[in-house]
Amino acid sequence: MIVDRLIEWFPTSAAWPGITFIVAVILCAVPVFLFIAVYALVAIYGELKISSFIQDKVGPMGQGVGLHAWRWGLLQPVADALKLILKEDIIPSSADKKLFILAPFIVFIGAFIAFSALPFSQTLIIADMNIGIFYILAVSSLGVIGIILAGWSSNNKWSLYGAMRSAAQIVSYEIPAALSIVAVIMLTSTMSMQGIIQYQSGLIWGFLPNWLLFNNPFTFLAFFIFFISGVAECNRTPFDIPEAESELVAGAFTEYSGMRYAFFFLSEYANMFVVSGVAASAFMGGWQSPIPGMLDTPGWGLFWFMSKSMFLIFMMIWFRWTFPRLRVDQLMDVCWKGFIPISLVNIFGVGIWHLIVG
Amino acid sequence: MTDNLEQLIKEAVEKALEGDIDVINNIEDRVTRSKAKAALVKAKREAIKEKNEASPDENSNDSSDSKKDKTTNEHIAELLIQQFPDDINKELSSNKHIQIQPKNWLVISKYLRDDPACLFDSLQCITGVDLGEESDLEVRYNLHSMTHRHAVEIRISCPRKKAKVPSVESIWRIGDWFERETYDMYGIEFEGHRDLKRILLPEDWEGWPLRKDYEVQETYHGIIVPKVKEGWE
Amino acid sequence: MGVFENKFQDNVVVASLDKLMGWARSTSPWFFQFGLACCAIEMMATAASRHDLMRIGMIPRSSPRQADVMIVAGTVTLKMALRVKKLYEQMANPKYVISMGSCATSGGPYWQHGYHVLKGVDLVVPVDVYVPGCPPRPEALIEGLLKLQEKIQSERPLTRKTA
Repeated sequence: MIVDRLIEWFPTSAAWPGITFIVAVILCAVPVFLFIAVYALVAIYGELKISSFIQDKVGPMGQGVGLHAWRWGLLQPVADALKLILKEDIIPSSADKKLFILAPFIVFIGAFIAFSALPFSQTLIIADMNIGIFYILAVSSLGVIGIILAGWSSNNKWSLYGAMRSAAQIVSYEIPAALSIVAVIMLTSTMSMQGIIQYQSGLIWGFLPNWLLFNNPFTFLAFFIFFISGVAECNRTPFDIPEAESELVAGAFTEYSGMRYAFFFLSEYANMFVVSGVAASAFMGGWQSPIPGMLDTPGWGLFWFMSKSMFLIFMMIWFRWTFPRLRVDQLMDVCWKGFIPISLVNIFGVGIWHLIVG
Repeated sequence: MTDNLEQLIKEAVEKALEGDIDVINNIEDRVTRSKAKAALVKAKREAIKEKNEASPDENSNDSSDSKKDKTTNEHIAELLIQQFPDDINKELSSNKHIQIQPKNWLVISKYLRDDPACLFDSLQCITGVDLGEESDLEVRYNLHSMTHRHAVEIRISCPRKKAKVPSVESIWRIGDWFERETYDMYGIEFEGHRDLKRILLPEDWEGWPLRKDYEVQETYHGIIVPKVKEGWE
Repeated sequence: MGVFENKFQDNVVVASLDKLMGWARSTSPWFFQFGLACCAIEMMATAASRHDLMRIGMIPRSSPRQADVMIVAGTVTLKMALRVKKLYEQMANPKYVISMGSCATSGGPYWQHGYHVLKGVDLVVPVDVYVPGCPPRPEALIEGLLKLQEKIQSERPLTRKTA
């Protein structure tokens, strides 16, 4: 646990007893923020390029003058970010100013603090709490408040509709996600992220890694339910009614321009990473290599975790350009009449399977 | 195989003409069933044609000639004259249209829609015409019947200064937008319309563009309207 | 950037910063898709697979607040002209307008008798690039966009402009 090690490392100052903790936390938060920024650039570039290839297009190509990284357009997201910073900041005069400014930060905080429990490798985890996965699920609900604030404070009917739909969707889809994780916790009997990953060590049938994905047909189902609910929580297609362009202009974020809009964008990608990270840790073995014994040093652990998460993010991008959008009532039907009964049956099934077979 | 199918279809159609349509409905293959239904419609139409040809043969030659030469417009005009003697302007009607006075237009239109001989349930178009500087404005209605498959044109004339015609929007609902367009372009007011306002031009436009004496306004909210740049002439 | 504009004398640092800002703004012009009539079809064709607008970095946004460039594609009637003005005012600085097609440039085929047509969108919003054609081919629109990129790069927002 990085925070613990940093706290031990610093000399405690008698005058301000809490200062060590604050310094340790800040020292951990800054790399996470930098990681999110860099990862967002990579993810945005990936989304533009992958979506273009799926549509038989080429994508950003480095047109124009000067340094643009040849014909692959690698600096395109950098240019986007820079342009958004240089934009004029508009706050509508009829908007509620304090809430308008506060909303992007709340959405970002909801995604940001979940990073503190993500296990990047055997040793790289900021805070290995014994309620790790519960903490992540709880904290990622904070984003809803930010979206509602954004929609309400814009004083614009499209924003309000988009924010309400988005809030309803996120809150509904948290239930099947949490129920699928309950199935996982039943088997591993621990909520700590490292503990869940340790449970998945070893091989079954001699060659398959003992990931929860392959362990049990019910956890196989739970993985899909968790992943699809995660896609819905990030407001991605096929569940992107809240930010669908043809329906609601830009949904809850219609009135945001420049850097504030960039913050929403950033938090959406950070949320995607959190969901993929949790899915990779809980169902796909986290930082463990698929062949135990080979390539499992802590450095390789980081590589395995990142590649599993990136693969799931690639799936999310793939979904966006493959499936048509679900209507709001179909979305709610799928959640309440489809996913929740299935996940309840799942919990039941996981226990019975483990009792009989496992 | 095709002969079998044709035989089947013929039997089914004959049974249906006698009154038993369950034979067609019980055919399982969708393609065959639709072919049978199409053949039934054709057979019914031919039966009606035969009946129509049979009956003039029974009457004398004079009436058969006049029935063949009369167009739908004249036929309907005769019907209307029987019902509403003062409102049809017989001199101006021709074999292509019926000219009507606007006073009782609402009652006439209801009759046209409901009477079993007319059954004009589809208002195809309402348009306005400006017949020239000194004459009146005219409103023309194209009506069509789905059941009898005949069409008729009604014209109503109104003076330029006081252009008011009763609205048929309550009879045929599509008249709502047609009348708004005619109002927008000609300035003809339709009395009884629930929401008569401009539909194509902006709300605060001045003038009735399709009238022959229309002058374009110079500016609209500060924007210059006519062609602006030099050398455009 | 309103605080810093037109403040600094022309020197090396400011010139390079200007170039950086110009590069960033010109290589990611997010466009506000304002397709009104037939030119909108050509704009969609330009954004589709064969000629790809995303190559130049243009992503379509539907909210005026998040867009940089407004491509007015199609006939602008007087009824619509007031709305065009309103949406233009809602865009965030720096903003640019491309007038696509002959209707937006000068009224198009309706220049003489069209009493309801705005004779050129530059009567209501300031236009940066005119792309003629009825409708302009996708290649022509892309050329117009590249000209707009050159125009953005030649702006010097930070340098104080002497009279």
